[in-house]
Amino acid sequence: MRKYLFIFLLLNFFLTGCVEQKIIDDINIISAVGYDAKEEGKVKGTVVIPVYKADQSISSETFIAEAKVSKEINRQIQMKSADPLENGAIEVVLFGQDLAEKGVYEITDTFERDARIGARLFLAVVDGTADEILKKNIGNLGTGTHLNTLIEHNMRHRELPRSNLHLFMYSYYSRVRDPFLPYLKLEGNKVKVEGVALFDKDKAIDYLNDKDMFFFKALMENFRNGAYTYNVGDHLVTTYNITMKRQFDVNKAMTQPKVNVLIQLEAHIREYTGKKLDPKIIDKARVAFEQDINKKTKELLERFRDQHIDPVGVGMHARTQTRNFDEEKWNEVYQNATFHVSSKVLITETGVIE
Amino acid sequence: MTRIPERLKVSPFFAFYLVQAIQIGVGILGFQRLLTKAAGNDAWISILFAGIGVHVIIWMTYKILDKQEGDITDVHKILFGKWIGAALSLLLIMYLSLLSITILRTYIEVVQVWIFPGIRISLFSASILIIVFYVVNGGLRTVTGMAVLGVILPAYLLFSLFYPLKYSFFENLLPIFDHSILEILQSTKQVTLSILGFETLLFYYPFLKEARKSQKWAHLGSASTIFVYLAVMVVSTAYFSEEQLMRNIWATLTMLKIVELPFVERVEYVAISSWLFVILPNICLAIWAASRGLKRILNKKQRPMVVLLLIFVCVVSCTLRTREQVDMLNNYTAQIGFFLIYGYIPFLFLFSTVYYRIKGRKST
Repeated sequence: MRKYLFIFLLLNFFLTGCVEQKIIDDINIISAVGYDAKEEGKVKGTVVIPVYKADQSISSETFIAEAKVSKEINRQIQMKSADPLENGAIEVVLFGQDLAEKGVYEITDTFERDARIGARLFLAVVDGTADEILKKNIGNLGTGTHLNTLIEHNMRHRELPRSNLHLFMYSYYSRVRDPFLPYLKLEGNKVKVEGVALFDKDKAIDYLNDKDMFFFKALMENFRNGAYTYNVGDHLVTTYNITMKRQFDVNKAMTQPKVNVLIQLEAHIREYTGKKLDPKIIDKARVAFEQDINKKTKELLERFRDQHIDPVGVGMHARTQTRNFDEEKWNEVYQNATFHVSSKVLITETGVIE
Repeated sequence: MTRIPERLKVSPFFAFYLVQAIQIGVGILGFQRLLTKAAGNDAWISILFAGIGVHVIIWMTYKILDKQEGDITDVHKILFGKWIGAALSLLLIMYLSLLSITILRTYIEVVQVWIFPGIRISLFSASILIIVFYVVNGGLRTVTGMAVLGVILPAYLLFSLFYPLKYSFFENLLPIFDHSILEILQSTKQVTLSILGFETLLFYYPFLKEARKSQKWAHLGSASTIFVYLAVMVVSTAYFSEEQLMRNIWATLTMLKIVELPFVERVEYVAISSWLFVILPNICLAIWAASRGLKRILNKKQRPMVVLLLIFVCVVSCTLRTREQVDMLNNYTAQIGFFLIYGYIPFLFLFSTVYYRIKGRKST
């Protein structure tokens, strides 16, 4: 008995060879993918793989294919690649503006369904076409990694609001919020964060520029180091915010919504073009900043409302404060919503010199 | 009542591990979908309800068994006579086999979808069941050891629940109690499959030293299970939007996709591999209990019974090929289990209380 059991257990070790092996030197790891709309409903896919050279530098190689369905692109690209292409390590997916405006659900669904794809994958919309960017050899870590770090640091430390595959799908399926993605642009040999692309369901319909991004992000999350430059009298002041809080109060959510937003933030003054920064000017700067926040955020909220979208998630706040919340009813009355924004700014420091 | 030799028994506090190990199984990988369908953002309340339910059932189970100091086959024999009692025990044994098939097949499905799509079900089932045979062969003490490992080793995965918090919207939990009690109770019913398995207590009760003292450990074990389920449910409600949660078959695993560690790109692969340690004691305990039951009613040796059961489990798990079939299997097991714990055990409890009251009156 013992002996047979032992032999049985031993046989188990031979099972390790039974599944398909993927040896890292023998596969091409895709780092970025781009999709563009073509005529007759076709989609053009561009795939980037990093090429590790003998002198330890990294360059990129691209494959391009066109097809009606995005899954067919994968098949065609495999035909052009010497080693099997693996999609488990995709870092960035770019959508050309034309495609983004037609709808991206078919493609994002593929990524969401695939167990090998991570949820931290960055999606972005390109001003122009995606293949323009992916064909260029950008950055010294390969194009995919470069785009990944570019988007990541702007989200983590700057004014770009957080988004990734998971958050996109979250908003897409949420009936009280709409998705948005970073909006990139190729300038010469560099890629620049141009702003934010706003989606209605899966179609891009509007774009925020980098000036509005600060207020947009302020409506959604806490972040540091968001820089904002504004006029105080004849001079310019640049502040960096340190902490941020916001509060949404939605009254009469099911009939005539009144949305009160209170934004509180602490900020440091980093730059001032005038001569002396005395308490009087600091106070002036504070008031000017508050007025800017109130005005700009209100404009943003009204702009979203008029376009029938809700990227900030006003509906989500309304739901938390309303019993028996009805999403369909909310979508109707959201058109009549009125917004009131107030803010409290506290300027705590002004740098190391007086 | 057969006396179990002292050297084959386990200490009362192992009831904690035995109860928790079998309650946390494949269910936790994707129980959120059905709960959310029934009770939306209030699904976590239904887990609390289920927790109360389980405590009551465990209390009843102990009350039934304490009178006999034996296992369920003894209880059946005394209450219903030899033949009906044996038939009832056989039904329980069939249910336990069904439970182990469900656990095994669902785990294999997870491996197929998430890691190795090309894996052969027959080979994989066979190799897991060989390990199960090895463990069950060692008797309840070895199975208990496996249960301890199954609770402690994968416990580190609880920490991965912190990563999704960064992308969570706790607003989703508000407003609390936005669903009717009926909807929440429906969702409570859906929790059943996930917390099934503690009925094996009916079989291993005589193997616990000072079995009465083990009751508090069994309660504690089940309480910690409920805590784990509650934590996972709250985090997933905040992390996913409602419709998204209803779409994801393995929401817990999908949630792990967001974890970012410098040395592992995909934590869910590590989780699925460690999950073998979670499901092994589940299958071992169910098979052990079933074979023990067969031994008692047929008066045969236990080892051939184990082999018989394992072959049965292996054959059935190989015949199920598609997602629909696996889903159906899960539904059936949940239905039967629901009836068993909320229908049969309370019935048995009432029956045995009345039986002993009448008997007590007659003797005085």
